[in-house]
Order: sequence, then structure tokens, then C-alpha cells
Amino acid sequence: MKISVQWLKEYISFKMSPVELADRLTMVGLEVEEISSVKPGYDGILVGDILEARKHPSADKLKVCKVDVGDKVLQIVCGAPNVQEGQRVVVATTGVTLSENMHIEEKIIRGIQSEGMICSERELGLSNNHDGVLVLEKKKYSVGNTFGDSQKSDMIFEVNVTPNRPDCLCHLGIAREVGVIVTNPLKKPDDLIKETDSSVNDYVQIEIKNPIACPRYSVRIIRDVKIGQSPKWLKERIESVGLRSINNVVDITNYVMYETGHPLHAFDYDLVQGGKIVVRKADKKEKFTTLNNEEHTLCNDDLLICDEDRGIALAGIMGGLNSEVSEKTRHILLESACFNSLMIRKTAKRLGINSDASQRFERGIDPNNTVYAANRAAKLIAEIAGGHVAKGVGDVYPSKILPENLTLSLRKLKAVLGIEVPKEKVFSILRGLELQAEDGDPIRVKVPTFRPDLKKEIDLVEEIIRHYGYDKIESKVFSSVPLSFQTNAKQDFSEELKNVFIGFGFYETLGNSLVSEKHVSSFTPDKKPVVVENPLSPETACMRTMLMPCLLDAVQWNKNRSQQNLRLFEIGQVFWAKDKGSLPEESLFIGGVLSGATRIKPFWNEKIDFFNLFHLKGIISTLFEHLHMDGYQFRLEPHIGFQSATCMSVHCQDTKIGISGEIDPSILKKWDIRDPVFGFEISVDVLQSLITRKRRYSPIPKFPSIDRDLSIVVDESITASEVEKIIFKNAGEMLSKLELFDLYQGKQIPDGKKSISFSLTFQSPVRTLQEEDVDPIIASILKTLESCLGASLRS
Amino acid sequence: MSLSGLKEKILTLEKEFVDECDKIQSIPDIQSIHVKYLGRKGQVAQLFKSLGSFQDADRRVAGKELNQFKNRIETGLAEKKENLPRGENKRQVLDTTLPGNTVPIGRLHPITTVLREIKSCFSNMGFAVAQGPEVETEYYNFEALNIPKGHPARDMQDTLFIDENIVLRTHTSPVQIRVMESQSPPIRIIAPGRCYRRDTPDSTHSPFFHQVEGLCVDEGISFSDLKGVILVFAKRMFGSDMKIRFRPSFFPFTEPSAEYDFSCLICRGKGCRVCKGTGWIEISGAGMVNPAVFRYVNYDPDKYTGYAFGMGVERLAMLLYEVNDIRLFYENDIRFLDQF
Repeated sequence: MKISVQWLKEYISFKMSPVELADRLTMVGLEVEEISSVKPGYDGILVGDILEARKHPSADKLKVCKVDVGDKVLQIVCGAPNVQEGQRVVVATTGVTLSENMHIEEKIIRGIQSEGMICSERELGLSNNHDGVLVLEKKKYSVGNTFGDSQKSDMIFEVNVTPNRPDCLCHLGIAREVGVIVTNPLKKPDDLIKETDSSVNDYVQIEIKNPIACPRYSVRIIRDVKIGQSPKWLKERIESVGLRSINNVVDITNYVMYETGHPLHAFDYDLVQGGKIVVRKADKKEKFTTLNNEEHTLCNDDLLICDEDRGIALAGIMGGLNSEVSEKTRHILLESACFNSLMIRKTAKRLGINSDASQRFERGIDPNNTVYAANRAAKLIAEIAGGHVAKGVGDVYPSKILPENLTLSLRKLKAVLGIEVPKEKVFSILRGLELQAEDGDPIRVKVPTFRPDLKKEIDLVEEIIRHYGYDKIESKVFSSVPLSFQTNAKQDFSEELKNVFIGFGFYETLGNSLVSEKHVSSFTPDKKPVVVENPLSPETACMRTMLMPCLLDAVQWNKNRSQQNLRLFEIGQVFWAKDKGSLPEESLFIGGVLSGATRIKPFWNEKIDFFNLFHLKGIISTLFEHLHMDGYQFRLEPHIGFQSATCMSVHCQDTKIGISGEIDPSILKKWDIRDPVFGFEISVDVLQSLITRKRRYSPIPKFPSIDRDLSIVVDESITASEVEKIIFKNAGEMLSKLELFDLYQGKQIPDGKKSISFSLTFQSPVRTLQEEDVDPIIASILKTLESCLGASLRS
Repeated sequence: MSLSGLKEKILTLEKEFVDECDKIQSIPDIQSIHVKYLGRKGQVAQLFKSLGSFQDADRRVAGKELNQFKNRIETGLAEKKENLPRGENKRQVLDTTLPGNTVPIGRLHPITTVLREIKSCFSNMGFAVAQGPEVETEYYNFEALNIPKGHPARDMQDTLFIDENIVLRTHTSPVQIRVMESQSPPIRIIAPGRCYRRDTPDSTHSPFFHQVEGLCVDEGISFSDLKGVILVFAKRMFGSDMKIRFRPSFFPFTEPSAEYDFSCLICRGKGCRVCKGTGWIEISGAGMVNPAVFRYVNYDPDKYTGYAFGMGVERLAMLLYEVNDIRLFYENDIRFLDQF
């Protein structure tokens, strides 16, 4: 909210610079986010000295003056009674527009030429004083200067008022806080009104149908007003806080709102039919047009201000077009009410209206301030728009809302803050905030109704420290911490996986968990995604069901920027919808992709190699070996989004824990990726449940081993694992290691055959093996391979 | 040849050998000497051949002499070979400026790195790590944190909804409630994790981001303890000259509430453009747990007090690494990731 420093000064005196004031306000929780300066335009309005003031030859009440305005001397005919030679005055030169019907031009007045106007305070819009011309102090103004440069310059604060402080959405509220800071009393502007004899009740009857929705409705009637432009001072005040000046009456209601925090509404009395105000719930589907000419369809939860037979204002939010104050308005019905904040908020949200009034009503308005606000506005209307205020306030207030009584114990204060605040300081803060405090243990505190945020003792603790200062609290850097053996195994495991993968040369990525429906269906058309009701865009409408779409986003981003060789991984949550109304299933996954050359940097002594399926498989296998996970398998199994010929499910101890394979090129097309991409995705939760972290030492073999290499020729159709199984079965316990080290197909062996080479290591824990120990084993392996698979030893 | 003749011959050859050895520069030099003395038709082999003409008794002595001579040549050459300067094993000079065969290096995401630092800092101060779901009920995300339906504070965070009662958590604070529901005091946890808000992405906003929530509840915990923990964190994270500042603020789940600032990392508190001349940069919010929150989890607010604090991981990472656009964290450009 915008706060004018000049305006503040009307209610509180302080000697700080605006920058210092901003800092102090920030330190009591009213953060000043921005300071800007305003210099109102007074172009062409100059300070001048009256050199000579002679009587007009043909008019008794006029004087002909010679006025020095710096670069020239003007002849001005002036009718003010107080104008005299030697005065320093304000001159509006020709071409200036002071108000709607006051354009300054050169003209002949009773036969004498006049080249400008010497101004009164009212003409300058400074006040309503029109008794004579404004006479300036010579010390403060110099001849020839533009009037008002220093006098009227203002600083505007943009204050971030937190939602718990409706009382600070106005200048008086901020001034009260300043008052506590500088320990000066608040100067509340007076609301004394000259009333006419006719009573407000002669003009209006008020009925509240729903007192919960509208605890109080107060009205003032001002008759015979003249709608017009606001005087300059009012215009400036209004504009300084970012509002647009409309007309004098509307500007006054806004002015008083920014002064007292209380939103007001002025109706054209003649348009309020039957002189009746009825506050009621809107009918279902009732139509209502607000004064910004927008039609709204209301519902039963909305509160409507009505006259005898129709709605005339959307309560607490905006007035109606049908009863708006216009140039033709003669009489004003001024509303100063209090509405239920929840209801106002609901309606404003539903209709998408955020007005100055709704903002304040949503946060809570002081029900005991309606009359003061109405009086302030009525007083100003009478002064500025020239109306007569009818006697009394039309005020319906079915059950008076009383101040809250709270207690504050100094012990509690110390317990929460960790420091002792001197008692007199506590009292002076409470007093400054207009919280009546009665000494005792605990201190009894009466909370005025403009502070709906103070409901409990702890809220008072905050008030004290807010003004006493957090900087007075010591930072306690010693503590007695209970010893804890708690660890977070899940977190630790995912951090370990990250370390393993950066060890594999992978870059960790973080993808947006909000993806498009299209991307979800690319990989998991069978899983129901969690759908966001109010997404920012269709591209971010679903929670990811797999990490792969995010990883492909990263691949696309990098490939589009000539980063072709990629190994990327992410560990993150994926989400699957469950029954409507229950939380979705969230599961932690690790996913990775490989694309391009195996090396990010080439090596001159090695030819470039591109990633293939077996690089992918190798990485996953290495992960399992790192985790000492035995019994993992890759099984050919199709999965949407992966090429069916290469897609493998990953199993550990017969539990499926993930998938791997080459991403389907038709899917890659959706990401504009042309190079092959190999990807995997494994459930971290399931993986963690399968591994055993406990390791036990087994002695390192003392006796030397014997190595034998076997190259076996088999039909192409026979898999490596079929051969391996037979070798294992026949090798017995002495086979300590079996490694496949070569695969050959070509000229040296018959068509339709392949040669697989294995290296076998034999070892005994109890003795040194001899060649003779191994020979019969090899023979038995070869024999079984031949009989079962038709294999032969490659010659 | 006589035995003495042989001995003399050996002496001559040995002297010659020693001279030649002194001149050895390279492996090929060694090889040619090897051939000359020990080759199939070399000097030593020829002398062995002459053994046939010796008498039995002399032959044994001569054979022994010759074998010893052969051994001396072998050891001599072996020594020479070992002592040859390295690099001269090959005739050509090695271009040591050729790049080496590098091993691919991976990189942790900077957010992970910062999170690890935060975790390690707080774990040193006795905080355990807790987690909660990213998709949360409205109850945990708002209600139990003293943000009832219709409270204007709900507008402080623009929320992404799944349905009326389920939201993408807007902060990690719901973990506070889940932890307090399942444990009794003393509690000392941090809860790192992803959060979501309906913010249009720009250089300082991302619809998802990471927060770390801290919570400590026990008897006798005061605002002083909160300030202490934050001070230690600031110094550990950004250096021991760091200062902290608390400003009053408003969060429904803490009372009193504060925003906390660190001294500006760029000017170290002197005032500069980054901190708008104030010397301070805003970090996040903190405060004493509102007794209203304790009532939701059935803690006795007269017995226990506690503090809670939050921090944005991206914000800290941006400050630490001088990253000026939050979106860089999620583009996953390897030229970015490579810098951390």
C-alpha cells in the first residue's frame, strides 16, 4: 500500500528523514519496499513580489498591481482585499489552468490589461481559504521560482502490509506505529459537523436481513452538494497514493478510506428508491452490474445492498452502476458499514474483483469506527462540495462488538523471547498501540476492535518484541542437544546413488515435476496422472509419472545447443493418482539417459565410440555390483516409449525394479531429438528394499588360481547366458570367476554360427590347483556344451 | 688354447666390454653389445666352443671362468639398461603436451550441493532429516498451520490445486505437522524438499523450487535459540564475518514471526547495489511456533515452546554462486552444470 510521508505528518510529528523512517517502519514489521518522491506540477505558477498596487481607475474594489516574477514585471488586476505593495505572492501566469473553469488568459478588466492572477489558497487548491491572496514568507520563497517546489514535494512509501494488519492499511494506522517509534501522541483529525435540523431518519430507513454478514450499517445524508472537480490538495493526496481523481465526493470517500482505513461508499440519494437500504443475501442467479459496467451473476453467498426493489451495491466490494454519484447528483447517501470478512473474500475471489474496499473488508474492518469515518467524510463533503449534513447517523448495529480482554505475563514474555523486557517499556509500547493495559500479574490488556489480529497472549508477545526490537535478543549459540541416533536411510541412499552416478560420469539434472499430458502419455498411458486443477499452462498440467520426460527435456535442451554427448540422471519423485480425494502415490525413482559419443572429450589415441544398449546395460550392472547386489537380470519386455526390440525390464532377485532400453524414435520425435537415446528408470525405494547393507569379510584366497580361456562356437540363436549356465553347472565349486571377453562372427567360422570366448578362473581355498585338476572339468564342460547346445571348441 | 690364454682373452674382452659399456646411450646400443658378446655367434659362444680342446681338469675350470664372465656381462648390461634415462627407451622424443586419456567426470546439481551443505550444517547442530509428500492435503499445508479456509494469508502463496482438499505443497512446513503428529518433544528436524507455487516463471520465480524447513520443540526453547541457530548457519554457509538481522513479519504458524536477513554477500554489509544500499539481503522467514499449531498436534502449549524457520535453497544457491536467473537451475544445460 502507498503511504505519503506528508500526509502522515498530519497525524504524527516526527523529525526523521524519510529514509530513516522507512527503515524504522521496516524494523517494526511494516516493510517499506520502495521509496519514491513526488513533486506536484506547478508549471507557470511563480513566486512574485508586488512592486506597486494602485487603485483601479474605474473600480473601487480592484487594484492594479505591478508584479516582479523574476524575468519580467507583469501587470495584474486583483480584487483581493488584502493585496498590498511589498507582498510576496503566488502568480498564475497566462496559459495555466488552475481548475475546471479557471483558465488564466490575458484579458482586459474594466479597461485595464491583466496578464495573470494573484492566487488565494483555495485557487491553488491548498485549502478552502478564499479570504484573500496567499502571502508568502520572504525567507522561504524567492522571486521567480516555481511555487511549491520544496513546499509540496512528498515521499511515497510502498509498504508491504502483512494480511494480519488491516489497521495499517491507512495513514492513521501507520501514524500510530510511527507514534510508538517516536513516542509522540497521535493527532486524530476531528469529525465535528455542522448539522441541519432535518434528521437522517427523515430520508432513509435501514434494514439488515443478515446481521452475521453485516454486523453494522451506518449512514449519513448530505443534501444539496455540488459535484465537481476536487480541489488541488485533495487531488494530490488521492493521486499520491496511486488513485485516480473522479469527482469531489468520490475522492473524499477514498481520501477518508486512506485516512481511517474504513471503506465508504457514496450513493446518489435520488437513485436510492424509496429511501430504503436493505442488506440481504443475493438471490441465486441474480444479475448485478457494478459501476465499472461489468455484469455479474451472483449466488446465494453474496451480500447485496438494496434499495426498495433492487440491488444498488455489491456489499464491501463495489457500488452499482445504477446508483453511482454523477454530475447530476444533488444529495448523497454515504454508507459506512462493516461486513463479514469471510463472505466478502469469498465473493471477491469468485467474481475476480480485487478492490480497495474488498481488500480491507477481507482483512477485517473495525465495526466501532463506522461513525467516525462517516463523520469525517460528511464533514469534508460539506466543506468541499458544499452540502448540508442531515442531523444524526442512521446506524443499525444489532449486537455491539466489544474489545477483547487478554492477559500478558512477563514470565511468558521472557520464556518465549529469551530476554527480559523492562516493564515500563512493555507498558509504553502497549499504550502507544492504544492497548489499554492494567498492571498486575498477569497484565490485563484490552484490545481495541481495530486489532482483530490480537487474540491470544502470544500475539501480545509479538507486539512487544516488534517494537522492542529483535536485535535486543541475544543469539544463543550453545545448547544441550539430546544425543540422537536417528538417520534418514532413504535420504542417505539416494545421496549415495547420486555419488555413484557422478562417479560414472553422469551429470545430475533436476526436471520440472509438472509436465504436459502429452508427455505423460508417451511413457505411461496406463497410469493415471495427478492432474492440476488450475495449471499455469497445459505444458505443466500433470505431475510426472516417470522421470523420462524430464530427462528428454534436458536432452533436447542440450542437443539444441550443440551439446551432443550426454550422460544425465535425476533422482526424484514420480506421482500416480489414486482414488479421487486421496493423496496420490509418490515414489522415488532414479532415471538416466545416454546419448552421443561415449566420451565427452575425445581422445586422440582412440576412435570415437557411440553409446549403445550395452553401455546402458553396463552402467546399470555396475550400479548393482557397487551395491553388492547379486542375481540381477535383464529381460526382454516391451514398454511404451521404448523400442520394443531392445526394451528390457530390470529384475533383482526376481522383483521387477525398472526398465531400460533405447527410447522409441517416434517418441524422440516429439522432443525433436534425432540421435539415439538410451534410457533407464529404476525404483529407488524397491532397490533399497532389496539390498543388504551388512557386509561380512570372507578370506582372500591364499592359493594361486588357474586360468583357462575357451572359445566356443555355437548357433547364432543360442544366448550367452545359455552357455554360461552349462559352464556353471559343470564347473563345480572350483570355478571362481567366469567372464565373457569376446564375441566373433565372420569368415573364420561357418555361416550362422558365432564364437563366444570365456575366461574361466579356477581356485581352491585349501590347496594349489594343478593342471590335472582342471582338465577333466574342462572336458566335462565341453562335452555337455556339445550335447546340449551342439557347441564345439573353436580351433 | 691354454687355460692361461683363455684367462687372458677374458681379461682383454672384459676391458673392451667395460669401455663399450661406458659409451652406451640407448637400448639399441645395449642390444648390439649383447649380440657381440652373448649372441649365438658372439665372443662368449666362440670361447665356449674352444672348450672342446681342453683337458678334462682344465675344461671344468675354464668352463667355470667362462660362465662367470658371461654372468658378469649379463648383469653389467642389465644394470646399464636399468640406469638408462627414461624416455630414451624410445628413440623419438615424447610430446608430453598431447592430452591425456581422461575419465568422464559427473557433476552434482548445484541445488544438491547446497542442500548437502545445509544438511551437514544442521546435522552438526543435532537436527535430523525428515521428509513428507509433495502432494499434500489442504489440512497439512494450511489448516493445521493455522491458516484456516478463507484466511487472507492463503493469498500469500498462490496455490496449485489437485482438488478442493489436495494441493501441491506450497512450502515444506506441512512436514512440521507430520513430524509432531508422530513424535513427542524434544524435536529437532530439518525437512528439505520440493515445493510448488502458481508463479509464472521469470528470473526470480519458478513454479517449483526447494525449501528447507527447520523445527525445534522442547521445554525452554526461546527466540534466543532461534537466533543462535540461524547465526551459526549464516557463518558456516557464508563466512565467519556474517551478521544476521531479524525483522518482524507475519506467518500464521509462527508468533512472534520474523524475516531474517544476512549481511550482503557482495559488500559484506557496507551497502551496495545488490542490497540496495542497506547492507542486508533477505533470506527467509522464521519465528516461534504459534501455540495454535501445538493445539492441532496435541502438544501442551504451556509446557513446550519451539521455533521454526524456512529457507529457499535456490535463493541460497543464487547468492553463493552469483547465479542471476533461477531458471538456469532447471534447464539442465551441461555448460551450466559443469561449473559446479
